[in-house]
Amino acid sequence: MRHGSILATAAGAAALVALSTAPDAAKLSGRSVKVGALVPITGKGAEWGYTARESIKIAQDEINAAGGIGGVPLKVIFWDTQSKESEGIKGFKKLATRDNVLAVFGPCFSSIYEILAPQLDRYKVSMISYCSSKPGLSEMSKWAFRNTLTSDKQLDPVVKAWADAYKIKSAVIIHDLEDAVSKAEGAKILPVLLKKYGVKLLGMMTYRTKDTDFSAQITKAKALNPDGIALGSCYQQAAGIAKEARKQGLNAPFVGGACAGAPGFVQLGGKATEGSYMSTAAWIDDPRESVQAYVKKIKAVNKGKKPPYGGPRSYDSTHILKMIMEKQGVTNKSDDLEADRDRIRQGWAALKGYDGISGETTMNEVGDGSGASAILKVVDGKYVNVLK
Amino acid sequence: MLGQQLINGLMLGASYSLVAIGYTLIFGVLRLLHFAHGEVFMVGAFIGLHVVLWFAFANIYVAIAGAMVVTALLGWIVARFAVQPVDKGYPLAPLISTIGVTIVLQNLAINIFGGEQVAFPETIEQILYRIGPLTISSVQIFILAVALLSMAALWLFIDRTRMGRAIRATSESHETAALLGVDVNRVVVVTFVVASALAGIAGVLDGVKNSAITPHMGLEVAVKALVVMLLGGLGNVPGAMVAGILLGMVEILTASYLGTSVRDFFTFVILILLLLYRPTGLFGTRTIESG
Repeated sequence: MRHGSILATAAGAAALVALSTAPDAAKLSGRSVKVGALVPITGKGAEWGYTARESIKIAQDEINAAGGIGGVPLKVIFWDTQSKESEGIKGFKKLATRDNVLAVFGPCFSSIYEILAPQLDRYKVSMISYCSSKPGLSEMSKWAFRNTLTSDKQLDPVVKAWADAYKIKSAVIIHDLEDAVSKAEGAKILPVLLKKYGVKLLGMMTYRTKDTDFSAQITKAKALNPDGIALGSCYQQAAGIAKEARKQGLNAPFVGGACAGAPGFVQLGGKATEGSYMSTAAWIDDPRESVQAYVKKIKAVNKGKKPPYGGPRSYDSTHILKMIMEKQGVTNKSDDLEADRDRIRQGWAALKGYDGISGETTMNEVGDGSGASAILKVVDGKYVNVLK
Repeated sequence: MLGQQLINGLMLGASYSLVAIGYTLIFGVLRLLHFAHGEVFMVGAFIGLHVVLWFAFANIYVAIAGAMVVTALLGWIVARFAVQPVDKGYPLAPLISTIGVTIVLQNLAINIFGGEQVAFPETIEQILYRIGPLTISSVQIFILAVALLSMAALWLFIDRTRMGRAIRATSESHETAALLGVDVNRVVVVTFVVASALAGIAGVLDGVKNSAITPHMGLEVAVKALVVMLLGGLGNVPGAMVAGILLGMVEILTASYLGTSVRDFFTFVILILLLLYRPTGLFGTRTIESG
């Protein structure tokens, strides 16, 4: 009995200490603050999903070690979308109606986001993606947010820097016919940006996602004698295209979007990728202490490898959500669920100048993140940031 | 540009030929579609890559040799444990058994090598040769030379050696060959070993050419090689060599002049037309010919 009461006093004191470390935070009720996350742990997006889940867990541990949210621990419930639309829909429904989460992170791919976004007005739950980047998707609902840069915003400064650096006057575009983001980049975004920066578009070549032989496209491109090559592509194919181009003696420099610019591009493409310009929504080699502290933690659970930008973006999102909950006065009472969800939505919509590890995040009027992105250039087999 | 595209077609076709020859050899001898042949090709690519990564002294020739040894051994294992023990009384049973091998090999590869795409380091120095309007790289010359040499060696083996004669005899008739003193079981095993070693070489060449080594790379090539086998005539080895190169050229020219989206479509249109109007393949089904 005596031991019990001592323990209770100690626990109470610990709780007081925890509370006092976050003096501004209102006390929340309940045993945990529940948040959902849609992550592709299997299927084509496995690398993105796994690193996002681990990044969210890292942020969750940091938040809980510092006393949770308003004294209540954060609990993130994960759902594996298997990179499939049907699983994404199933997962969102379960998180929103059965687990009664306050908000949902994810999903990763534009193809799933596109289907879920129009349904959000019915669920009245905020959905915050950490990697879907096809332009125009957040417009579909006031509950739809993306803490990432859409690919047009990512690519704009990169195309300019690439065209300036190599004095590019003409280019060809090679893009994927099937992948949603790659197709949007190749068919819609890049032609506009090339025109904007005075680069003449000489021709468009396409391929299908499963292709591994790009010789026909490169021979065609070479016959047009372009100054540069713009890619609407993911890194596997981008690396194959780069290698094939050098093999055929076409030495024009490449520019590409975030999927092409994943770390795998340099690993697979080797020397052929030298001098390429790539966009990203987070700069993993940023020397800032907060970024490197995160990189160290994520590498420890990711076989020593660096994550794609969905990792730092989901990490930031978790910390942003904590900040929003405390600022908006979320109560976490079960009969207050609807009001709490709306408070969180308002918080995301009003987000301005959050200084996170993936740069400064501000939500624009439709709910897409904006802010500085890095411009990556491959120099001596490594990415360096050439953003001035 | 046409000349350059024909070179591209030749490069692509040569790898189809190498895989298709293995299919057609096995089909000729056993009347069996060896479903896991594409996976043997995939294993060859991974072994070649890891030989280069693990051993500092290893160049591309060592990689090819290593891949050949391992895939030949794999061929022996498949023949002895997945094909020969299966009751031939049920025509589908050996086919199902090789499908099983496909699944086993794919999962083994995912567990051992991981599911991500990997690429060969630059093992051959890149030198470009210009002949008039054409550009050929040292890598392309190397790949083509190895492919053609392998095909020539196989042809000599089939045409000039005792074992080659036994393989030809067995593919005409198991019973007659056995009556004439051919050890049919041994012929089957040797056929698997030779076909698998060829697929291993093809795997390394494909890895060097495309830098797209994944545990799933086998299926795509296997389907194309099947088309090549049908084009060349079932069991017809020289037919498969020529048909592979033809298919490569057709694919490249379609992609180049009609667009990528119709590339596979066009391939299968040709296949369907062929099956309708010339079901024995472009060059006839050799094993049905009376000798």
